[in-house]
Amino acid sequence: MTSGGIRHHGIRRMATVVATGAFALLCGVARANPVPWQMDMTKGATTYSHVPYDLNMVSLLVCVVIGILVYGAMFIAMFRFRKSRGAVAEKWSHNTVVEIIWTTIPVIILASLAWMATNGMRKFYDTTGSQMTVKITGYQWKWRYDYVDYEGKPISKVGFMSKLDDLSNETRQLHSGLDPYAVKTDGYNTYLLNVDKPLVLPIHTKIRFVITAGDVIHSWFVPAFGWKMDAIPGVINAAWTNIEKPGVYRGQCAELCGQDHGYMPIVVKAVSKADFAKWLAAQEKASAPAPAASAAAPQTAQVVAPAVGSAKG
Amino acid sequence: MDGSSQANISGNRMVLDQQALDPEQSRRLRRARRTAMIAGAVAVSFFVFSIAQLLWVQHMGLR
Amino acid sequence: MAHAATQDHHDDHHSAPKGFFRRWVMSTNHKDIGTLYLVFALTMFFIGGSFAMVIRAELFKPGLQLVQPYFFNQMTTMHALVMIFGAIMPAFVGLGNWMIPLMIGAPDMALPRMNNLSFWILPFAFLLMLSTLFLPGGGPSGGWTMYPPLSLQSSSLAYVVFAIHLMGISSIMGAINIIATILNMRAPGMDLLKMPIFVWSWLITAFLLIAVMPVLAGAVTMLLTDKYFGTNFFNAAGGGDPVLYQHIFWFFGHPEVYIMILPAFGIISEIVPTFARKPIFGYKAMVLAIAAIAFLSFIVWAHHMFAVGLPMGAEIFFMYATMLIAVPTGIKVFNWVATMWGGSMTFETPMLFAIAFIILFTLGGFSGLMMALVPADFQYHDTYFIVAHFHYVLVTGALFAIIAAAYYWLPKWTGHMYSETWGKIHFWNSVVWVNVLFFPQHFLGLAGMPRRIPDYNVAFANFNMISSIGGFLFGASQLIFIGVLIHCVFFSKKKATDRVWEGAKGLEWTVPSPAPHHTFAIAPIVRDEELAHGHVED
Repeated sequence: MTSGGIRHHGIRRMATVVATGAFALLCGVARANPVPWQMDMTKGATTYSHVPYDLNMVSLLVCVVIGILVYGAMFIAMFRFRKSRGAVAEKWSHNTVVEIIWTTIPVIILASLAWMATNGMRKFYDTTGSQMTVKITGYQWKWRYDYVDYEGKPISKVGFMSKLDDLSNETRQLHSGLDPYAVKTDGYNTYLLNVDKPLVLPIHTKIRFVITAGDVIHSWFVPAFGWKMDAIPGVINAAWTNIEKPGVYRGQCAELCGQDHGYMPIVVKAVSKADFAKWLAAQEKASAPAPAASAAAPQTAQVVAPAVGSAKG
Repeated sequence: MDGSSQANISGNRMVLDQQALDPEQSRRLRRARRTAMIAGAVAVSFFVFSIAQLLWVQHMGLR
Repeated sequence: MAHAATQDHHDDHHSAPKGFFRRWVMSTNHKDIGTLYLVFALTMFFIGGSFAMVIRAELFKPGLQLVQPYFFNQMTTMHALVMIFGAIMPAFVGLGNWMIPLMIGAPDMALPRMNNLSFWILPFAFLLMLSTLFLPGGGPSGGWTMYPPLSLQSSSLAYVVFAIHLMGISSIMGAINIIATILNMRAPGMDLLKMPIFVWSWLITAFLLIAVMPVLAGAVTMLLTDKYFGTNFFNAAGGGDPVLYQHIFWFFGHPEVYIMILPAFGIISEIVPTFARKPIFGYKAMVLAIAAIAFLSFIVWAHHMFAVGLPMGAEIFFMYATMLIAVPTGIKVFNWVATMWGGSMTFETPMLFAIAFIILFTLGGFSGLMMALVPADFQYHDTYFIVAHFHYVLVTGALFAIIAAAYYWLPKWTGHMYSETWGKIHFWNSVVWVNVLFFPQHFLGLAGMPRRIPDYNVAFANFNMISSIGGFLFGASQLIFIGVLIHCVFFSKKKATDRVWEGAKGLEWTVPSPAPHHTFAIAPIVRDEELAHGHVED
């Protein structure tokens, strides 16, 4: 059992977390990773990720307004037309005018939502003009990343497996006796959200992903990018991103893929173009497709990418 | 499953017997049996069609 | 309606077969078979519910405390299969069996012996499926959708496929029976457009069933041949395509979700006018809306697959078609509200559940509309937002309608009134805890927590704990329901009148309470003013 328990940690953190959460909410600061008590979708950190966020907010607003009208009418009806208040039932059972009105108005609202969504999709489906290609392959239960090309030049033999970090892996075992609250990286809890080797990507670069799988269906999902895409054996899917801010972005496999489906996180470390060039050169030099599995994995993003120390989550 | 023995299986125990129904009701029952046959045929053809279609898709290499 | 009452009274009681085996196992009586379906559904509801308790207990806090991930996956899979095919669907078939002949003035279902077979297949199908939990290798763990290639790794696939075939045959026979009954067995004067909306909803649902259950059977048969007979329908290495399975599955799966909600619409459309003492608003619009939803259900399946990488044109088509469903569904909700408006309402337990249905199902509809927007769905897909959505439409939607129907017709079935006080206690507990259970899951989904995971980052801990507490208490609240049922059936002293509810209209309220073993052996004379929709002009 986790010795500290929920209550202890929960309450201690609640105050700070609620404060930071509210702060983030009010100021519209992008959250790269989930925080306790988070109630809304992340705005993300890419040129595309505002699209789902805006759609989410607009459609939520539409639903809230319709909800207030419909539920309001219901509650007024329930209050006014009670038998106990002496209400006598009326006989009418149709009214063509209101029926036409409440059929047309939803159609108009839906059409405008559809227009917004269609514009968002045009943006998402435009994978042209990418400056870099990364191949993502899902396996039970880890991800493989292969760097295909960067700024027009093919990259040879830079690719590696990325799996759950050792500390999370030890903690997650049934009756491990370890506390999930103790799994931290840079002061941020990364229980089940950390890997031994993150995917390192440059910012301000349109990166095209080609996504597939080696055994069963997986789904590559980083909320801060604003999309997920299924990784399917025999199928190659495409998606793209263009990260605006350096940072560490975390996600998880989103398609049930077997017993350890919950234990194949995704970590993307976004760095400046200069830092990325250095990191890539070092990787090409080492030229090992899968560098030896590091024993020191728990803490670290840094172990894998010694050349890049500056980025923080 | 012939039409005339509706509910006879339980003999005298059942009051709801073909004989107990008025002629109008038993005529409806016969018509219902025909409707059921048609509906059953539709169901079977959907099953066969779903597999046949994929066999064809795969055979043609369309997928 | 004295004529019906005197008709039926003489064959009460002494016509029901003596002996447990003869009465229940060899039954060809629509009421007894309806009861069997309902008891079976209730049993499955508690079995499926116990799986849900395991899930919520494991998710109570971060870290694994109770079960291994593999067993957790079996629980999520079995919970879905049992609840969908074992609880919700048989409950609706049971209600249809009991009420359709009573509502249209038929002496029984058109094919009573097939009716018996439809029911008695089910217990064996579920014994087979549940038995896999005790086999080496365990039960199915690839999700109720059984996506290949993952489902092909399961050693219990053959059992599950066979069980699904049996359930499918049962459902198809049940649907055929309902179609044959409604189209042919109506009493003279019961025109199609005078039928209760519940009967209409079941007629349309039955057509959905015969169209899509065979497609599911085809899909799982191909899984079976892929695993055991060397075919490559879904095997990429052999020239097949895993995505093809998803297309076939969801061609079944989306109509399936409407199979689970259309009869619920029918039930609510019966209950609301009764307790508002006012005819349903826009009868024809209500029937047309159900038909429109049923039609649209065939052309929206790929909205379950927005993240599989479909071409943009396809996604746009399925997005627009999905959004269109909001129109007929909206009409239904508006019409229910308009039925209440100007009525003379009382709030007995069935009405309370019906009102909760309208409010909370609409909430599920709202999240459904949000999910129809493809770019937003790229975020929502396969997260807890989806879990929250479909539990709002299935628990506070389908299940609440079934509970409402049980309270509504229980006095007619048993001849006794249930305890109104305990019914209301059951209602308030259910409606509060179900929201504590499912509402926070929206937040978890928006924050990015994937579904079907046994453990999670501590950021998701708070809302998961709230959700689990709601889950345990919602589960416990359903024990009150059992108590109310047992009290009503065996101990209640309060006799129900034939009419039961002051505002009740329709043929089922013209027969005595409890409904005699055989009703309408001679077709009743239908008088329009006795029907809920006897003289509709709209």
